[in-house]
Amino acid sequence: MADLPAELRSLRADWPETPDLAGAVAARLEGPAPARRKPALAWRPVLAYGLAAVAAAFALTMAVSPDARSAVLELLGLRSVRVERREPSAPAPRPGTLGSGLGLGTPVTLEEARRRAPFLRLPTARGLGRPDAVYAGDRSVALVYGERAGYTRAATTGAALLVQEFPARVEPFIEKSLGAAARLERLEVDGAPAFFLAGAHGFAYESERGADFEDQRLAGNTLLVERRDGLLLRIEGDIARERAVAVARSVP
Amino acid sequence: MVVGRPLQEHELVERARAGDAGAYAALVRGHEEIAFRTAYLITGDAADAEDAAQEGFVRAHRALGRFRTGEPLRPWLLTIVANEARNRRRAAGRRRALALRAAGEEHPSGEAAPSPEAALLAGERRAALMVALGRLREDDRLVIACRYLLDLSEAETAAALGVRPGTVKSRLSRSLERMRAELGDPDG
Repeated sequence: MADLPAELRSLRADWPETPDLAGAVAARLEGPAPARRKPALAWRPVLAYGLAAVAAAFALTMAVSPDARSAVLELLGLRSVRVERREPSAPAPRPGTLGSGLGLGTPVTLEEARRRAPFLRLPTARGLGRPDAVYAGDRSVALVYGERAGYTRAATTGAALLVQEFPARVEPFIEKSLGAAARLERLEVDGAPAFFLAGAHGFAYESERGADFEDQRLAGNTLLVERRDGLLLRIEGDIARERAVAVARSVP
Repeated sequence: MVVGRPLQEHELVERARAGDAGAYAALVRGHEEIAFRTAYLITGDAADAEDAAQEGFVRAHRALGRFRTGEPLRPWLLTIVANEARNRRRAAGRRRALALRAAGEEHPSGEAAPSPEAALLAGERRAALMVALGRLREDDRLVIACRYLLDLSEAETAAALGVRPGTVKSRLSRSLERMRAELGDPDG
């Protein structure tokens, strides 16, 4: 019998005719939003304009309605992250040895992590040194640091510092749920959009299949930076905003 | 394969980033067919596929600043368009059958036309392949169609399906086995 892949390759399917997407897209990018667009997208430019006038760093209160809130947060520039306003339902993690039990992936050596995740950059902040544990996940790498001068153990992770790196994506793949106790600040770190989340909040990744968010856990203070080179940094620990920013800036 | 194509695309991306609408239109033109067909495989509906591809290209334009210079554009675009297609498919809430049929054979010029019997057999085989493909589970059908009907690379198939390249390899070999069983072909 014939070689099936070769047969399939030579098969010509009766595809529907490709529409003039170049023309339609050009028209949408130039003109006002046509009716086909979702309402949420239609008012986005107006809000973006309003926000541009606001100072670079400000705190958002939780008073905004849930729908408007997630839309506003998407506007602020981190498309890889979705923030929802609701009480996190996740349990606090029960960490064992450094980083285990946090769903970070497979424990690996630093060399193996570099091989699996070529985007990996090590933070060089003073006093941090090399990570004590490294995990490689699905499209992510996690550096876990034990207690050291200036960094105390955080209850949420059992580690002093957790630095995760992901290639950023256009669609949200990290979900945050903020309860009333959590506070969110927008920052800029070396010109890149960033959020600092103070207080415990829910945290979930999108599953590999891209359909759902799973493995939610409770997280502590977290800085998220979506760098212009496409690297998304997530820094979690019992640390103040300034120290988290210093760690983020030390990532080459 | 067009020699020098990556450089041209890279230049178009740079120009599009700088606000050159014509450059972005040229990029869309170059990828609209593969994007539309990928979306069509996922949604099973031409109108939904058109919506998904159009929205995907608009989103990609907004995200161009974060596209990593030097990387191939096509898998990146396919990731965005396929995401849009999956969203529409989920919203539609029902599974659609693959409506593709095999198109008629065309021989490369200069080659002798096959005998009527051979042409008939080949036509039947093509129809049987499409029927078998349509009967497969969605996962199997998508990976085979992306890889062989659209001739996407493994990396591009992974981008379109939202899975790792390693997953494409293993899924593809399983899916081909199931398709052989569906066709009643011997293994291999």
